[in-house]
Amino acid sequence: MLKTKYIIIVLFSLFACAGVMAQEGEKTSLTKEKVLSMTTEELSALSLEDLMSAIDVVGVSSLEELYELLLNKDVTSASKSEESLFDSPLSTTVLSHDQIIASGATTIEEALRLVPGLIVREKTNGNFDVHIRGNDNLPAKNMLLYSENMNTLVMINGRPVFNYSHGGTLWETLPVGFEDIDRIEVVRGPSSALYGPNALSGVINIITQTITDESPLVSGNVQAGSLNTLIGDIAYREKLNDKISIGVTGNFEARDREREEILIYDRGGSQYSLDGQPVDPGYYNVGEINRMRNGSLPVWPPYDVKGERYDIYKSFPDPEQAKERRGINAYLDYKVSESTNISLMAGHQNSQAVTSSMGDVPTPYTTKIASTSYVDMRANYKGLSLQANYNGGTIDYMSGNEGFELDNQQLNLQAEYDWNLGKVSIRPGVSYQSMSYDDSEHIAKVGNGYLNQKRTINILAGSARFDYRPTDKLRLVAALRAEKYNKPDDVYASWQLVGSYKISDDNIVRAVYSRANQSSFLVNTYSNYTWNVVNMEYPRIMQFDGNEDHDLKTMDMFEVGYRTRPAKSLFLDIEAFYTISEDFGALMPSSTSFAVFNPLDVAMTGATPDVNGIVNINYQNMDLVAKQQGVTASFDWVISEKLVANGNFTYQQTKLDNYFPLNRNEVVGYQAGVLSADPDLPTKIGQAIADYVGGVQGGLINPEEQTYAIVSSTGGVPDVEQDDYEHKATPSYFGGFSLTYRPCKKLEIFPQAYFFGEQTFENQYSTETIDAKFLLNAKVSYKANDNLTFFVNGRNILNMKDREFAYMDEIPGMVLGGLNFKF
Amino acid sequence: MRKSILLICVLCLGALLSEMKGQTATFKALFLYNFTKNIDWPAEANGSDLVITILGDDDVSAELEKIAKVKKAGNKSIKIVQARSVKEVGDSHIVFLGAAKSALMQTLSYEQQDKPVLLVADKGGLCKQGAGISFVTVSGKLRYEICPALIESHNLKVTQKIISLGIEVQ
Repeated sequence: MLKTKYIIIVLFSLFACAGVMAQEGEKTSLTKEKVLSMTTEELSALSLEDLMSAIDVVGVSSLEELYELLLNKDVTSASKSEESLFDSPLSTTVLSHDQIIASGATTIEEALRLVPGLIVREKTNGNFDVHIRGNDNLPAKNMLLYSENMNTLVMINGRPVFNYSHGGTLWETLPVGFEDIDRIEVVRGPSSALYGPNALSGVINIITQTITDESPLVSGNVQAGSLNTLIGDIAYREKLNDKISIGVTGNFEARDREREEILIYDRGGSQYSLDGQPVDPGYYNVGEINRMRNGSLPVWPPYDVKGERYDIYKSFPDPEQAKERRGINAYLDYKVSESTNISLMAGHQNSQAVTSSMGDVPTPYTTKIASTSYVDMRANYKGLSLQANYNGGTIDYMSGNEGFELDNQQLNLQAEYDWNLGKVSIRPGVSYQSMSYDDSEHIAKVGNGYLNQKRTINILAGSARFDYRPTDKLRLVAALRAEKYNKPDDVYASWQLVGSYKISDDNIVRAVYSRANQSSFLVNTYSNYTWNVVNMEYPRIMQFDGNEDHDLKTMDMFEVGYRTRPAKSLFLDIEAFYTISEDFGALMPSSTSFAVFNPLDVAMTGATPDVNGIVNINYQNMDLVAKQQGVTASFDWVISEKLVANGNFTYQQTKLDNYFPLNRNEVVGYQAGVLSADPDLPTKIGQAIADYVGGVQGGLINPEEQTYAIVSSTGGVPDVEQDDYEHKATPSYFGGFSLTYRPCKKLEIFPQAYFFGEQTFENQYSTETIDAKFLLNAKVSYKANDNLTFFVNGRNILNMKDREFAYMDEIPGMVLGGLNFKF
Repeated sequence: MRKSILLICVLCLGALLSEMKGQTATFKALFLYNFTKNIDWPAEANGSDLVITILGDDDVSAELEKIAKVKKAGNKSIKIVQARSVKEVGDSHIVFLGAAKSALMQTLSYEQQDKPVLLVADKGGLCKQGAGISFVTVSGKLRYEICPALIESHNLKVTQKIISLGIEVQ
């Protein structure tokens, strides 16, 4: 209620301001008719300032402007230098600030639904999963962690915003809002040769606005509506003089889930009860979960960490809230001289999101809480580009679960030089990355975290990009990069080999062969986590260990593409791709042991042996190979001054070789079955107890440290790998289309559709089918004047509530109202 | 869904046929002519004609021809030359690189680097690749980015007026 009042006040104030400012009309004696009636000779006689005034009166025709804005964009991410999107040698899309605002997207991720080749699924209101082309949820049959997109490198002005702890992107922790963004550039296909590791399926580079004389002093957006959604951002930018520009932006977002209950799912034969009554897996509020039991054990047992209670209420402090985030950013551009420029950007964000879990808890949900800050410096001196940035803070990946809260420090340094030799340009570069994560401040004792100390991954890299244009039509590009990791102690090479041929000014073909690799992640490398399982009957202990010498995942891609402008108003792009991904890895059971957990009681009091399991889980490479082939087609069509159409469609197929069809629990179950079937098991139990007692008596075993006696172990897994297995976690088709219709200058209607086909999500506990979905959004904007635009924004207006992501929320249609302002 | 797509396509086809031609080429030609009033070429660039070479934009070339028929640059006739490739670009006072050929900017600037020539591009951001002036559209208005240091590196003198009316970039 209070929020609504504030919104009304803000709206009213802005409207009043805009009304006053709108009174200041253009003062000029020239009219459009007068200018258009002037002869070439008369126009040629004008001075430069008079000519510009005359041109301004006529303006660039709306159609010409649309051609320029929509069909003639620039891109920098494909080659690290500005070039026409049409000439880009890679599969590239640019989403402009105006397109994002016009679309009504409420988050950056949602805006990416406008980009060809992107699969964007909403998990909870405002929290999304974003994949380029797919290859998602691999390896399958495992924790939800592996559904995170670890294949795409997201950057802000070339600064990686990547989670090197587990892999993936925590979208809610991005500090920027729409008013910060000038454009989002998406490059599809392996791009590690240009941007370093984790750019396997591509890069998403968010480019912030440049402050110019034309920048509005104050601008922003605010909207509010269904599910208590309130989203806003504001920017102040000013060019103080020819040398210095400054800016400050802030953004805010809060939105609720459609329910406050949390899903408790079946974790392999769970026997749930609530207040003594048997209940099925399903949705429960946190109070009920606090009272639930699985067999004789509490589902969510509380414990203390450094005097603080870790329980369901700490895990889900706001279960009804999907997301809340705040960000602030500051900009300083300093033009030192004609040839030297320095840009500084710094900011901070706080965020909390209820979204999919990264660990193994009774619910697929988790609350992620983050507080991070960054500073990014970019400097240019003639052809030399330098970039240095630091990102640090604390991220709790699973609130209320000891060991998942980490302090992080990320440092990136990069230097590159553009050397233009005419037909050849060479861009050599060096970079250094250091990513440190430390959980020691947030665990009760060493052993309770999976790092238990500060751990670091370092990457030293050298690169060179050769861009050769033997003729005006032919272009050959070779980008090469070598990376030396501290863990694994190895060197990885990545490359892009590209050829493009411009058949004519309006037709260009391209062919690409590229390779990219993942980096090592802290969890995969350094895990040393002992999980004393207290909410399941079996196993009793799970030991997670990293692997410092694992192989890093790689992706190779072969791609051909064709871009054409059959008419000045139409832009078509078609790309066909084939990728091979290998050296997947996952935390998988390496061995299972039977142990007696009360050996002294058995020996001294004759108690029944408490035999249970100890599972050792190691990060290990798998034989899995994913082969994907697909085609994406997109078009941008300026039909008239009033109507613009955009659309894209992707069809893909992914086949897996050496696919391992068993999930983690089935492997453990298989190993436990082998141990149970041992006819000598009773004898071995007796022997283990005797050995344990003997060890204690002989001083070889400290019963305080080792409380159990190992009976037997096995590491075998069944030989069940399959080839040519159809991977269905990526929908076979997906895409979208939109129209921009401006019946008059003040009114704009933007209907947008996004769709994807059926998917099958394979988790460690179950397999869930996600039905095909068709989402329809529509935004209607009324431009009251140059300063103020009001809008009504309908998201999912057909109210298609089917889940988009396994186990996550069924999000209903939403209606929001708001305004964009600039002064 | 198929019916909807078909309907949209039919509607769009009709609209496509009524495509308008804009004024932009005329304005760019007028700008180019006006630049000749605000740039001083060194003595070695003097000849009987002021040569403007157009690479990759027939519309601007046609508009400049109209201007050349009725106007002079100082006391020189204006000669418009059309080039189809960077190799074809001969000695010129101004070279205008059309938007469709903007990928050639680096090569062009390298080939012309020691010559007294004003390189004008038709796409924002190309000053970074060697253009002295580059047209851009800002809020529906035709503007130009200008890099005085680059222009002066070609031994040309540039008036303060042309700098102040443009968007100065490095």
